[in-house]
Parts: sequence; C-alpha cells; structure tokens
Amino acid sequence: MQCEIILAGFPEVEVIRAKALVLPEPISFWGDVSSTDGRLLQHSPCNDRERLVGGSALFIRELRGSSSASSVLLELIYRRLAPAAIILDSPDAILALGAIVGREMGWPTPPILRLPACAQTVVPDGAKVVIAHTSISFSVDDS
Amino acid sequence: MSRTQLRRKAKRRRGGRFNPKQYNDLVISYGSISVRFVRELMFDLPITPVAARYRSFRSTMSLDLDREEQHLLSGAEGDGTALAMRIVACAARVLQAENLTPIHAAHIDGCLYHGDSGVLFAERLVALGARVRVPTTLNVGAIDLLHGDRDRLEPAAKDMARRLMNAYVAMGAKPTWTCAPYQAGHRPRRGEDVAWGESNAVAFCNSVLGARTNRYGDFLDICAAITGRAPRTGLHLPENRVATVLVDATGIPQPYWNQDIAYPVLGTWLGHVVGERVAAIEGIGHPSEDQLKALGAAAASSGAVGLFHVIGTTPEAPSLEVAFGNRPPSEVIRLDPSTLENVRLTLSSVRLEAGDAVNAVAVGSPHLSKAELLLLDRLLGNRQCAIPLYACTGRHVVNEFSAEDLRSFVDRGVILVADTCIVVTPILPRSSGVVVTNSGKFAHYTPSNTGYDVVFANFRDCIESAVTGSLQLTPSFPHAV
Repeated sequence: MQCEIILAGFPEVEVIRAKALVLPEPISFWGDVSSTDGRLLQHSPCNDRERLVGGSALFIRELRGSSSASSVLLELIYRRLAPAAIILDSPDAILALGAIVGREMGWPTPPILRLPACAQTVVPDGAKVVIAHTSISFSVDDS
Repeated sequence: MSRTQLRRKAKRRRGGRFNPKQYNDLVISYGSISVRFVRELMFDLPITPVAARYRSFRSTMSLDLDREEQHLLSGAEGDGTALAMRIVACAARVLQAENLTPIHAAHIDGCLYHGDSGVLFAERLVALGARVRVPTTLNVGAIDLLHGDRDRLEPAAKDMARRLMNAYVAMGAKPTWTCAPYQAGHRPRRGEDVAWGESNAVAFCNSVLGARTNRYGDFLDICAAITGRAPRTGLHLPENRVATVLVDATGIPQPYWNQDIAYPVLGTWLGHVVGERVAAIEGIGHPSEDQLKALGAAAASSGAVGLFHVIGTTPEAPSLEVAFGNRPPSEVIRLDPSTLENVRLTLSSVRLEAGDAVNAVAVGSPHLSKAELLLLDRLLGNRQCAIPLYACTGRHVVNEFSAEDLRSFVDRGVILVADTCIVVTPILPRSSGVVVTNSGKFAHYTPSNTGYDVVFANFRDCIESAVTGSLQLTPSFPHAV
C-alpha cells in the first residue's frame, strides 16, 4: 500500500520493520497513553490495556480529544519509547507537533504517515509491517 | 544516519581492531542523544546546524511566507523567534496551509508538566531569547501555586513542573493558570484570529465568543504567541465555520434543559457523534455561559469538537439560515430522550445506588466561575463535608473572595484547588475509590488519569454527596420530567 508522508522521521530510516499495533477505536494520546512508559491506558475492544506503543507501527484510525497529545508524544520520543512509525487517517497537527519539536530538539523521531482508515482495516493487529519510504507492506505470522 | 550505517562506518575506521562491545559502550557513553550527533562526536566532526535537517522535509505544497515572516524565520529577531517560526511553518505544511494568519492573542496549554521533554523545549526557547508578541494567557500548570501542598508530585517532578511554569512566564505570558481564560478577562472579539490551546477553551472561544482558533496543541500555541502567526487553515477560514450538521433537540421536553447535567450529557453525545464537524443545535433554549462552558468541555473531551452553534444564542447562529450559510444541512439528527439517558449512564464508570459510600467529590472542570463557587457556597450552607470536596477554580476567582470567605470554605471541608485541577496532577489521595462529579470532562478523564472510578451527578447531588459521604442521586430525566 502507498501512504503519504505527513512528517518525515528523524533521522530518516530507509526501511522500518515493526509489529502493527492497530487501534480501531478513537484514542487520545493524552489520557489513553502513558507518557512514562508508552502503555495503553484505555481499554479497547481488542483488550489493548497494558500494551506498549513503543517500537510499534501504530495504526490510529481516529484521533480524539486533548490538545496535550503533542506533549505525550514528545515525552515518548525523549524517552526513546515512541512508536517506530505512526499511521493516521488524516494529518493531525496536534500529534505532529510532538514530532516536529522532537526533530528540532535532535531526538530520534518516528515518521507520521497517512493511510486512510479504510485502507488501514486490512492490516491485522500484530502483523509484521515493513515501511519503506511511502510503501507499507505487511505479513502475518502463521506460527 | 541510522544506527547500522554508524556501525558500518565505525567498523571501517577501526578495521580489524573493531570490538563490538567497546563500540556499544562508546555509543552509550554519549548518553541519550540522537545517533547522528553521536557520529559527529565520535568522529570529531562539526555538528550540523538544526536548519540543515529541514532539507529532508518533503512538502507537497508550498507555503507562502510574507516579508515579515521571512524576517522572523531568518533569525533577525533572535534565534528563539526563528525556532518558533520554523515550528509554525512546519505545522502549516503538515496542515497544508497556503499561508499564515496574524493572530491577536494566545492561550497556552503547554505549561502543564507532562514530562521533562516539554521543560527542555520551553527552556530552550527562553535560552534563545524568545518572547511572546501578542497578549498571552496560561492554562493550568501541575502545581497549585496559591496552595503549594495540594499536589502529591515527587520532589523532582515538582521541581520540573515549576521550571516549566517559570519558563512560560519568562517568555512574557500572563500567569493566569486557568482552563477558563474566557472567565478571567481574556475575551477576544468576534471574528478575531487567535491561537488557543486547551480543548474546552478552544470550543468556548470559537462557539461562544465567535473568535477564530483551531485546536492548538502544546508547542504550536507558544510558537504562535512568539511569532504572532498561525497556519491559516481550519476554523480561521469563515467557510469552515458554517454548520453542516443540524442537531434537532425540539423532541426533548424543555424542562430537561433546566438541569445542569443536560449540558455535559449533550456535549458528550455531540463529541461522540458529530466530532470535528460543525453542528448547530436547535431547541435547547438559551443556555447560560456556564452551561455552554460545560457543553463545550464535554464535547471537546469525547470528540474533536472545536466549534458548535446554538441557534439563537451563540454569535454566529442568530438563525438557522445564517448558521448554515443558507445551505441545507448535510445531516439532520433528531435527539430523543433515551439517547441522552444512555449517554448520561456512560458518564459514570461504575454503577452505584443512591446511598452507597463514595470517597470524594470534585467539581470545577472547566474551572468554576465565581457564580458557580457562590452556588457551591450557598448549597453547602453551614454544613460540614464528610468527604473531601475538591473545588477547582482559577486564581481570578479565588482573588474575588476575602480571606474570611476562603477560611470558611476550608472550615467546611472544601478543598479549593487553584491554578491546576485533579485530573492533570496527582491531588486525590493515593488510594483508589469513587469520585462524584458534575463535570463531563472530569467524568471522562478521572478513571484513566487518577485510577478512581467516577459517578456523574448534578451539582446539587455532588454537594449533598460531599456532606453525607454517600452518593446522593436525584432521579434525572426522563424520570424527572
């Protein structure tokens, strides 16, 4: 699948390999994600409580709520606990700001990509995701 | 440069003498900075200036910067202003704005401590000499500076939270420390472009004041204040302020709207169902400013609501025709009593019966207005609270009361919290339990942010629950009307 780059990561990594963490329900980074360890605080239909966003390819179909989301993302970036890539349905300036500031501060920052929610639905939770520039592919481990 | 590239380069340089353990120790020895800087330190190279990094940024659209904006970007007004301008410009590109709009005022949400990263950023702005260019107020911090012992922050975190608050004041922002700046004298005029953070304040600013702001997140808010510019997009553009969804509440009996719980319930529903679209609500009469505040706060907690209209009440909706720009709504939603009753039930995280024991009561999200605190005073009367009653408000309200009035709150067991509130900083006792609240926003955030369960009740029931230490729950609509 082809995605768009909302914001390039820093430093730019040729190929990102990560496990998909798919959030089908709307989430707010502030309130639903712990800024100290990247745990998902809000229960979701796939029982995601306690799962960590760190290192994942985080698929978010809908972002919700607070204007403090950028701070939570920046803190995760600062603590090296950010997702490896964040995939959104549409550009979100509040979340992107966390990444924009992360880059300015010189901290490793994940790219923020755009993939429409309808296209996101084909990616199963836990799939192995490979992101190379604007191309997203995934495979499901049968074992 | 990626870690693998760095490793390859180090290996090449060391040749046969490359030792993986030594290499790893060396990388770690540079601390938690980005790998590209490690490369520069390790090989004694000059550190590339930050601006060079922007070469990597791709943009599908060009952003037009006028002469003044380019001047700010150039660093002629200081490195801090240039840094802020780079961030505003980058955000504008993410938002695909074609240009920037001058703003007249700002309200900053970035002063709430979420971790050390935000402090380091604010202090970098201060160190680079950044100052706000427009009148700027500050949202809540993590510390009640009027009553220093309200929070349970660890000393290190408290120190950082204080450093953060100091940094924003050092940039010239007013230390208002409230999420209801619109009740602390910061009231932009209708049609004025401003840059506000804090979701409830944004909803109020757009909907009730008719000033124009997007939902500015942390960092962009202060950068807009420093540069006096914001991306011209979203709700800054008149065409995006026109309602598209009609919420028809005429099917709800009018007495419903006399209950204070009606507004957080309607707001929660609005956030869930309408989200970012602009709704015009018809048939709820003429809500007061405090009721609109509760509506907007709940809507902005459950969904991305930045603007709503109430026909006949809010400034951009004198009539249906004006609110919809003489176009038909793209969707009409008729509200019925059972929908609202179901939403009310979702605002409690635990089902309790009247008379069940509860542990605390919290009101004041958004911060209580003077009228709301006076109502609390009157409803409580001479009675003593059996459990803590947290009343969160701004110093603009606290300062309106005499020392004697304030002592009388304390004597009755009311814990006044200023400058902050119970969901943004640890204030509730460490044990868990149940909090009763009348706030849609507290109801939304209390379980995840405090670990307490929450029961949603009207203002009077909140006060009665505080006095008795057990849940007082007046049957509400539809049973009450």
